[in-house]
Amino acid sequence: MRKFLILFTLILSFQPGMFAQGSITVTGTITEADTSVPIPGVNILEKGTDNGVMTDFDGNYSIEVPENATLVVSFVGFTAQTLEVNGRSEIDIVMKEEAAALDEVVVVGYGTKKKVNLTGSVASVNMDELEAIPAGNSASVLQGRLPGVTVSNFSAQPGNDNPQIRIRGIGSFNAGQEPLVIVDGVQSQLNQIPLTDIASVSVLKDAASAAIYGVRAANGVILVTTKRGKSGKPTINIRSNVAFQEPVVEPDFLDSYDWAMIRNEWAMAEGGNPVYTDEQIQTIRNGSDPDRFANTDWWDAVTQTGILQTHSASVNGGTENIRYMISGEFLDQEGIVVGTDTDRKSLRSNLDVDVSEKLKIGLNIYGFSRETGEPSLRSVGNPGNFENNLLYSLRRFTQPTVPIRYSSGEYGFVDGLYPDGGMIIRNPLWEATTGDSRTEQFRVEGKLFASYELLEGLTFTSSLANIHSSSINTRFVPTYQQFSGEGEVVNQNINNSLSNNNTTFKRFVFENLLNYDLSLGKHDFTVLLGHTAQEERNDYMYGYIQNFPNNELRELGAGVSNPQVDGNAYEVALQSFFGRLNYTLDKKYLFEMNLRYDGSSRMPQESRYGLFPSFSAGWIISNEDFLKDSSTISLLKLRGSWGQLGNQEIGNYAYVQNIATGADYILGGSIAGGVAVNNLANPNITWETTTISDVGIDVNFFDSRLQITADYFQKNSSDILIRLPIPNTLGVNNGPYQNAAEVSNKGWEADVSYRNNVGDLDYFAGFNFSTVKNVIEDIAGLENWISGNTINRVGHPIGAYYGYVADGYFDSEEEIENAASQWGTLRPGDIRYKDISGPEGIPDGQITAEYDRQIIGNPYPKYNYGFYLGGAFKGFDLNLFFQGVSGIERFFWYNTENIGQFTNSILDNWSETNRDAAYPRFGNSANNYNMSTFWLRDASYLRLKTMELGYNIPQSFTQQLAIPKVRLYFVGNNLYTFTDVEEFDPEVESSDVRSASYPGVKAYSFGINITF
Amino acid sequence: MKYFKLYITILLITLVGCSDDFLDRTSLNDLGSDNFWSNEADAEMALMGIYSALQNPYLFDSDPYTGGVTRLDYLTDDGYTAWQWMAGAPIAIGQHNATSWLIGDFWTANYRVISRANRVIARVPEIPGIDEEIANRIVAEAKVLRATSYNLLGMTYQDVPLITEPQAVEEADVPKSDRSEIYAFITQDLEAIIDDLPNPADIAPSEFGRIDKGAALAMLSRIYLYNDQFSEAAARAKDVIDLGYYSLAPDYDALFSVANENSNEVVFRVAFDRIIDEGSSFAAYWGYIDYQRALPDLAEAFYTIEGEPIEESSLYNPEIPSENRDPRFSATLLSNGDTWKGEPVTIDEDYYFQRKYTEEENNEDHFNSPQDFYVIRFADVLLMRAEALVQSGAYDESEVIELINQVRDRVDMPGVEETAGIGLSQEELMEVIKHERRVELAFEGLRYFDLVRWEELDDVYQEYMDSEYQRLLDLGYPDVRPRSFISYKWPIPQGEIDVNENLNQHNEW
Repeated sequence: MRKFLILFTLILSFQPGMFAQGSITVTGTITEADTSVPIPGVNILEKGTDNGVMTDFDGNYSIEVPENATLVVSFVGFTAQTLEVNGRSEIDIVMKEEAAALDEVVVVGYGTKKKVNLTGSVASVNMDELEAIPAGNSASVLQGRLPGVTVSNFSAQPGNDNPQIRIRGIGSFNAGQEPLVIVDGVQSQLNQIPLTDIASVSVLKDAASAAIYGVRAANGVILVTTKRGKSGKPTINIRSNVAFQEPVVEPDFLDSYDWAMIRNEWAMAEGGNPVYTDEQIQTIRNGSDPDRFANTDWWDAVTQTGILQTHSASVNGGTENIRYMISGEFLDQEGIVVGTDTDRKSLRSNLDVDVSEKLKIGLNIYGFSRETGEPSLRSVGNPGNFENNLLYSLRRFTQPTVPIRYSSGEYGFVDGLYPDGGMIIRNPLWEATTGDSRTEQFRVEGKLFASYELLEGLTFTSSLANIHSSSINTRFVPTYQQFSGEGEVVNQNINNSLSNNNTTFKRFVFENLLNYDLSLGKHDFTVLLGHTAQEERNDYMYGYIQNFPNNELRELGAGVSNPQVDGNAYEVALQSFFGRLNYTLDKKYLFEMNLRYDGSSRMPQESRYGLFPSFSAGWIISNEDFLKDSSTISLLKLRGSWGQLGNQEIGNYAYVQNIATGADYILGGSIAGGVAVNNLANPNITWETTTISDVGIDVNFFDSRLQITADYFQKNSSDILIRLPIPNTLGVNNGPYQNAAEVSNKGWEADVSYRNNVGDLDYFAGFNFSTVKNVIEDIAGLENWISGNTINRVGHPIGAYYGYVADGYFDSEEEIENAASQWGTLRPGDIRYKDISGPEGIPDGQITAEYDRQIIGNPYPKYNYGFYLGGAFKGFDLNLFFQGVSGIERFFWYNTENIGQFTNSILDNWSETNRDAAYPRFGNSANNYNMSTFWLRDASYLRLKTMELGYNIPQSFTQQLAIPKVRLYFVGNNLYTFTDVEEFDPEVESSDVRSASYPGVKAYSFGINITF
Repeated sequence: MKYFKLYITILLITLVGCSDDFLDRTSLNDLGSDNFWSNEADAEMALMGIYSALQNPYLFDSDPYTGGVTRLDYLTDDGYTAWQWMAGAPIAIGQHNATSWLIGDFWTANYRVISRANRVIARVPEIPGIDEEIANRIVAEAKVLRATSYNLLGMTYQDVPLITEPQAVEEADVPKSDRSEIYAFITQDLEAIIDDLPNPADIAPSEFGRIDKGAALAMLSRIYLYNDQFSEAAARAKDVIDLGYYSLAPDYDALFSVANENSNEVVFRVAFDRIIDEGSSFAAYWGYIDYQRALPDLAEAFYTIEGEPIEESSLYNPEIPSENRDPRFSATLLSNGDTWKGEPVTIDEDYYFQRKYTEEENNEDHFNSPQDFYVIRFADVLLMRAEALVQSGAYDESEVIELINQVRDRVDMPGVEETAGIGLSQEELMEVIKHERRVELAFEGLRYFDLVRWEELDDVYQEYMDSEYQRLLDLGYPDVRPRSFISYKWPIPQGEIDVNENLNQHNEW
């Protein structure tokens, strides 16, 4: 393409020159700003004349002009410059690549496209701006950057911090909701790619852009490309970051005196005796017996300042025919919870070789090894599984009266009540540091590809890709004893044990593409045809054994008793044929059609293949004559699209009636293999289908300094899998999945950005906003189904919160008598609920689960937004980015049990003298702790997500050190959060009603970036 | 480059002809139904699937939380279940309804047995070339297991859907049948298959645990007894005795341990072993838990060693309740002054814990115990025959006393003649049998059904509430309320009524 342009400009320049008086010959070299590489083919024109020349292959030029002439220097893709000759005979010119012009290219399915020519809805993000963010997980930095893409960081556990990504709402109940991630053309993952390796991230949001991925595309597609080599002198980049991390929110727990008082008050309110005697309370208060009555801040004991370091180096360069990009990164993270850590070492090599004019080959290799440590006795993830969660233990199974360690040095487990009452606590520091659970992950991704130009414009590309990933988890539980302050054993484990979980995943992709570009006058055609075969296999193996001779030997072979073994595997395959046709008329009218014909092993034989089409069109109004010369509007484009996508994540073998093994029995003291039907199959099961219509507008003003993109979409998902409840008389666990529900998502998105400069000050600002309305249209004719505190009901969003409506507190006995009956023995200070309905359809004077619960909240944000502003001035740059969600609720259901720890807010509990309290009176748990609006909070928040301050050390100084560029920077992450939620982070999983998630982190990061 | 073009041409041809086999992927862990039911091994595996369903925590492997058959004693005057979050608790405190946990899960667990059995009964005879004798034996075992579950349903929900064939989802909306129809079906069903089963003496040691003729006859006797068909019950119990294979184990205490699982006293067992997923937790030691304990009422029912009620005996020592008692007391209960795990036991008065079945030696991994559960043992068969004879009215007192005395002799307790005398009325004899069943069979999942069929459950609840021990139920947990009694019939689970349009709730509920 560049050669073609050179030719084009050469032709233009073969024109007779005009020679004025007092003319001189100006010579010089034109180079690229970043690399200092000479640029051939740059056009140099004397302003107001036809007199012009071009630079040669070494970037040199020579032009004869009048002494006072003005030169206009221009080259496609670079910012044009105008400069006065002023009698100089030698002028070297440095050209800068044009930042955001109409030539911006975005990555789309199986190719790239000029942004201006897009007819679908594709969001992309400038990764250069995100490189410095301290993140153990690359996907998490996308939060708030892309309109229509909801990224939620529900856990900050090192090595286990994959964010939840949802594109344009949710369209499924039971099938997968994760978007498809394609890295350099191969289905993979974004989480574990070093940020500095990423060249681009595009999100395909509508059917026009995503239909080329067919049966996997219904949840949207994220396309990632990694950096590739550029011809020229090698560029070496070295970057180092160190980030210090802290919890975003630190809950305040009661000290032991306040805690013991509340504990007593609560016990008495329940009709019991005080737990602590006056004397003990006194001891707690004066701290005179710290072994028996301590004052422990358990949160403080198990949290620490986390440190996240990343160090990377890359070399990028090549000759005219061979280009390379090689990089390596080391990431090390010590978590904010004691006992959690991870490190990752990764290497990448992207190689491109032009074997001949027509044959090009390339090889991408990426690999990493990662080791993640976490507590072995209890998990720091999976907050829904309260019993097994360390952070839940911290709240529910500790108390401040137990010391972290007794004066003897042993860990504390009981307070002075023991053995006559008092809980044996789960000392979270002991749990976080006893035993060991480590996961080692190895992943290698390789892709070999070759393309051959069969005819002019017709290219054939063939590629083989392979991913091999393995993960080995070893978890050791040692023997241990837990003591009282007096040294008595209160609990012990005499069986040490080891379990190993090994998982191996393999994916193989063979892909062949045929591309054809054709231009016939005003008509431009691009055609793509392709075939893909992809197979995957996952193997899992589990081994367990007990009783090791000591706690140091930690290999299965050293164990003695109760060996256990288990394992399983699955295989799936996908074969696809696809094609795309682009037609552009007169650079104004754009048309695109995609077809994908996917065959999936997950579907029944007879109906294995499905066709996923899309059609889209665009009109670049600004290329029409009446707008062509507008100085205000640089781009005006309308687009529209329609298409269908599939979701094949319906289980691997859902259509086959499997007879499950493992229903074993014991005969004569030995195991006898047994089988049973556990799940009924649906032989006619098929993929879920999502149909998306999208209209959009792109407008750029003032030389594209102001850019606006807006989209409205309607996304309808049908044939959604649901499992209707079946009578248990069928004797199976689950009925068959059926394609029987329908969900719609409608919404709009807007993205505005502005960039300008005043003198040396470059500044920019931007804003993105999206809203989506998620509505269940049909659930196989059912009205709804309820699952705990959530409901799926026609006309409402998926998983809406369902509960009672709290109506303040009961103020008096009379009020209780006149009110509907509730639970337990009601007293003033108990939560009063609204009597919404009854069996007759009217309030029945009785609060019941059946008639008095209603939809009370939405677990997914209604609005997502982000905005940024920043600027650069003489080597300094500052960038602030805010991210927020709104229209979202969460249950914050803590301080609801009479044991464990309480946060400070519980001091504000109801009493005769404190009727406007934050918490109800103690006692009557049957009434007060039902899931109701009382415990539901608006979990909207706005965050100062990142603040980046950088300084580029002047080149005049660095060049003396032979280093062209040095940048020092500070990045603050999650520095401030505006929210109504107190004591806990508002960004938690819907199922985490007790804030047991690994706490979200804020980070202060310092870094240096050196480019040679 | 010519070769490259050639490569592309070949490739394109290959792709067009790409075989669809590439997309044929089937489960690597499970068997596909297409090629199942093709040989004897398949039949045996499907049969083991039914047995495996008996190991369910709501049936024969219940812990204090799940409250299935092995914990039903804790819903009677033998024990109590305190906490609302234990499955049996709502029933124990008389607060259960159609949405109660155990009400739902006990139903599901039994229909799982029934559905697996229905599939075996329908499909095994159709397996091409299967040996008819083998097929008949497998079907007979499946029928006994199916009847076992229907009997449990008949003793609780009473009227339930009678499903005897494999079903598709579309056929699942079955209305309930009258209890009498259920019992008519299962008794006829079992009568027809007795001879398809081998004698217990012919069972190879490697097959210990499979239903034989003795187990089938004993289960049939129990079903007849539970359905008030006393003469049939007596006859079938006699058939078991006449097999001549069974005898009482010499050591009552040791019988409930792994070492004696193959004793000739064990007629019908649910087998467990300390292997992943095959261990039992019903025999786990739960410590001195206060949310599920034996009641003093049971403890006091054990006579002294001389065969006298404790209140009439000078041998009774309230400080050490196990002193001078029927040996079954110590085998059944743990009380103050006993030794447990080598340590002396100190428990406040009136508190007792279940010792029967509880693993003492092993305190490692005890929720994965190898202990089998005895669904029917020979002592029960003897007592069933004794009761059936008396209830039928046509009995010879000496035969009845001799049956009871066999059970007493084994633990060296005085005979009925000594403790109650002879020439007893039918009612008096029944009292002797009821007492004997209580002390002999405590914590074997039978007391609840005995009280239901004797229609004494509400009486014993009331008696208990009126007694001085009522205070034991006040554990300081606000959820514990006095027991009230609603109905012998359990409600049909609400979830079933919601999805089965032909199923109606009992009028009582």
